[in-house]
Amino acid sequence: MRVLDVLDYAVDNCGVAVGYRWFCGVKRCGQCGVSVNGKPVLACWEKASPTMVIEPLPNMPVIRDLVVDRSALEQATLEMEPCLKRKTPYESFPEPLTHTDFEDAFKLMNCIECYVCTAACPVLSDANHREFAGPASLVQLAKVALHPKDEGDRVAAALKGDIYACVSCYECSNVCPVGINVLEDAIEKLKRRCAAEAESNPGAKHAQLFTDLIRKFGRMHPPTLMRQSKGLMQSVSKMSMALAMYRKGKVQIRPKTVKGIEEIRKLFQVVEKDK
Amino acid sequence: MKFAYYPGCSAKTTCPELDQSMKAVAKKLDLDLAELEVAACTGSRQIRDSNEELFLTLNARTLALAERLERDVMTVCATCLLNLVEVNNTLRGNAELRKKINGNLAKIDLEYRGSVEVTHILWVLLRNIGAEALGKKIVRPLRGLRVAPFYGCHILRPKDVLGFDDPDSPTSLDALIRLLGAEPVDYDGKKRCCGFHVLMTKEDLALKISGRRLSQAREGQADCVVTTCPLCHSSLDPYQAAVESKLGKKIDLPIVHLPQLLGLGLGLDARELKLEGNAVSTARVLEKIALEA
Repeated sequence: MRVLDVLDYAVDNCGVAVGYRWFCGVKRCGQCGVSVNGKPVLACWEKASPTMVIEPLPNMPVIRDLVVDRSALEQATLEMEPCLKRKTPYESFPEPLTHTDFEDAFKLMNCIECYVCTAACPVLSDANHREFAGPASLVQLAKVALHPKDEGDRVAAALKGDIYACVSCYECSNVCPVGINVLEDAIEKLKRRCAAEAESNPGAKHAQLFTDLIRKFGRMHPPTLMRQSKGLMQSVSKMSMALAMYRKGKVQIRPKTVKGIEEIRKLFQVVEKDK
Repeated sequence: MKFAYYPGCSAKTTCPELDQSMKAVAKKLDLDLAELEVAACTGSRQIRDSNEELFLTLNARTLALAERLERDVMTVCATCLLNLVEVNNTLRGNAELRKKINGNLAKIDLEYRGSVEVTHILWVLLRNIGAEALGKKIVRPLRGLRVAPFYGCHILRPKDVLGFDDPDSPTSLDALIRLLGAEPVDYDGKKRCCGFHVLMTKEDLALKISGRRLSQAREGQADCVVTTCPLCHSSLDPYQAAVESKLGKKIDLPIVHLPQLLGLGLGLDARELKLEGNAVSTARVLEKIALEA
């Protein structure tokens, strides 16, 4: 028995007047998201258990009972303009396009826009960081961004959705009802593009500074990364913490270079020469 | 039991107490650790988020170094664990890509053939040593100590890649706490994010997340939190003062590394485990054990 069957039964046979939304019942329409024992799921695809707590999806306003208002999130998706944008004319008809060409985009075409991943995101629920578009909208963006024929400015859209607020926790990947690894197959690939094309963005810059330090020392040196990433003024505000950490032996003033640094630098050279 | 020990950057910089306690515990458990001193950083999330080939190449080198020693890799960091596991899976599953990455490694006369497994100290304790054998080594049961487990994202998720524990209701660290004679505190935050990966770029956001975890553990009346990852530890321990000033309330919750807690059970003393090296004083934990012992 599914959670949806339990809800149907409660309404039909127990006189429980509970509001919930569903349409297809077979994991296609993406309408029946609810939270079961604290985990966002689809009511039509989740096995019911004898005791369970069914709640509305978090991170969205509740209209009634289990029915949530997704309009703000859907608006965030629309602002990503998730349809193919092309400037150059079609080469021919039919166009040459192999399955490997759009494999990355294809993985994301399974998305049924149920917003279950966005409901699981701690950036929204724990930090209430509403500048973040949320994983579901970023999947829609990545679906077009990774398409080989797309020519839209997807980096700008990703940064507008504050993609670098993503904490890389895999909660989105963990709950996706259709098995998309949201973090790795959508968000991370968008971040790679941002890193390449928006070097001045603080998130992209941070990744670059991090990489530079590994090239230089083979290992992270947190004080240097903090000073470079935050800038001198903001780093000064962390002085009391740095001092407390220093007293505990947690701060090495000078970066130590890893013993195998020549080999590490050689590998950097080899990889970066290709670029 | 032999492993190639990959401490990661944190254990060598901001968390020397993790490295020291791991080595002290290894001696007690007859774990033969060969430290991969020449290995590079796994790139945290930053290198993999910006340069995939570099991410694969640096970690392939680390795996190849372990392969040369004919040892599996053991980490004490969840993020390093996931990075190495994923690179290992990628290289094993994609012959074409492995050939390309090995082409890079050839420039430093290395090759990775794919024979190494990657594991974490928590997994070694429960899977390789086993609860029964480990239980026999506990000479100082931590009775009366309430410990809040903090698993860390990258030791739980993605489940199909890691597969050791259930990300929705993890039990491994809880089981270890029980094995040590202590009492695990149950709270939702134990399986959630610590906020570390945006700590330097969006501190406000990170502190809100870690503040939630710390508050929950506190409400559960934990005497301390135990972490499996030095990155979570950094979010919760040295940054705890920043969380306190953000929340406007005292939390004052000691955060210990897994090898530190285990070491106490194995009879090691506080100095051997460098418990004075944690930012929030661990004195209360020691008092509690002495009182109850």
